[in-house]
Amino acid sequence: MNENVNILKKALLESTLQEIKEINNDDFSELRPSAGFKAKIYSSYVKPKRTIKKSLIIAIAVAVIGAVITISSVSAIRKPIFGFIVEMFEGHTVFSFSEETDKSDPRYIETVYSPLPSMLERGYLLEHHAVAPASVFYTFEVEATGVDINLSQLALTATIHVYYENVEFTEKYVDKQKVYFLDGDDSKIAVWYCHDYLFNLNCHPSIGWDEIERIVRETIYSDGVPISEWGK
Amino acid sequence: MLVFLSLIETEDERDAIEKIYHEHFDWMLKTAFYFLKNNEDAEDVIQDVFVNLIKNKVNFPIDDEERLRAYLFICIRNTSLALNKKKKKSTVDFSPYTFSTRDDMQQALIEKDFYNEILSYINTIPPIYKDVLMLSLVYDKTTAEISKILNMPFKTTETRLRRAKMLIKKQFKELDI
Repeated sequence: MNENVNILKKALLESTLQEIKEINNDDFSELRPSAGFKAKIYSSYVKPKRTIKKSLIIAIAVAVIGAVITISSVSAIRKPIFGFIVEMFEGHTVFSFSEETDKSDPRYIETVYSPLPSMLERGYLLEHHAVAPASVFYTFEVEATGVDINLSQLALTATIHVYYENVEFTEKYVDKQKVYFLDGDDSKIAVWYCHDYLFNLNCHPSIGWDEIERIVRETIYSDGVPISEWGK
Repeated sequence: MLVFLSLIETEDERDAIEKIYHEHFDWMLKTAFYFLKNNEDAEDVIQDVFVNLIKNKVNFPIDDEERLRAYLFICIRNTSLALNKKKKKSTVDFSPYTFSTRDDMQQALIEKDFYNEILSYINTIPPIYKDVLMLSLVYDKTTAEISKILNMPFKTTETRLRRAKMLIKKQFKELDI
């Protein structure tokens, strides 16, 4: 029986490859990508870092990391020297940790800094929750309206891409913590760096900025829970 | 207008996207153009496919050239189909995939070899069924993953997969799928 299924799988693949071959045999000599399209795809989705002209390097964590280094533990020395990079160009902004991060020491989520308990108390429903080695994701639902709030905490290997058109980021301090806010037609976004992790909040535009700042603040002041104990 | 927010978590993910760009971009665009007959629409589809690859983070077969190509083809075809449906255009030519008549089928099934019989039959199945079956059987994707890859509601995916399996089983009773 399995043998027959394997034959089916092989035939499915073969059938699709035949289609691809037929299409590529067709003459599309008139086909040319419009000016800059290929470059746009490259700079937007493939390697934004290497093609960026306008970049802003923000060393946010220097003071914090400096203090950690004085403790002189091996793991502390391996922490990143600089914070994360915000790279902005037309229609697209990338948040990533700096190239100075020691790539031989990949970081994983060790401690979860979460506003979860407080948000549940305030009536949010936890719709989805996922923990991966380098990230923790939540999706909350506002019970009254059914709209979603997505929150993630990311380790140093992560890059966040925010694609938008005609929308500018604004910088604002929330209790001395620099936070980037983006107000789009169909989403509000906040990105910030604290506890050595990158956080981002992406929510429905009906959520007020006061509430967004409150969630940011709860993350900043969270004591943290070791990942091994998280969810228990 | 805000489009979306995505995450590339690892160097492996970044390398995979770069490989697709360098090795497959041109034929991907050509394939989208084949379905849409319009350069602008083809570019929109390619952009959507790249966005989807990054956004959904569903592992794709990066190390197997043929399987990768077939995977990308499915993504392009379905995105093209969705765009066409959205624009309510009638220029897309999916006619090679319309069902054959029973006589055609019987003719196809004259093939002695079981593999050729299956292949002949699969070539007659509409792409909406063939693609979900490919992702399910060849790429071992769950219904939820297929729904993400094809940017399609879960229920629709479930229905298409069930119908695709019914089509195959009706024709080849010995297949247990």
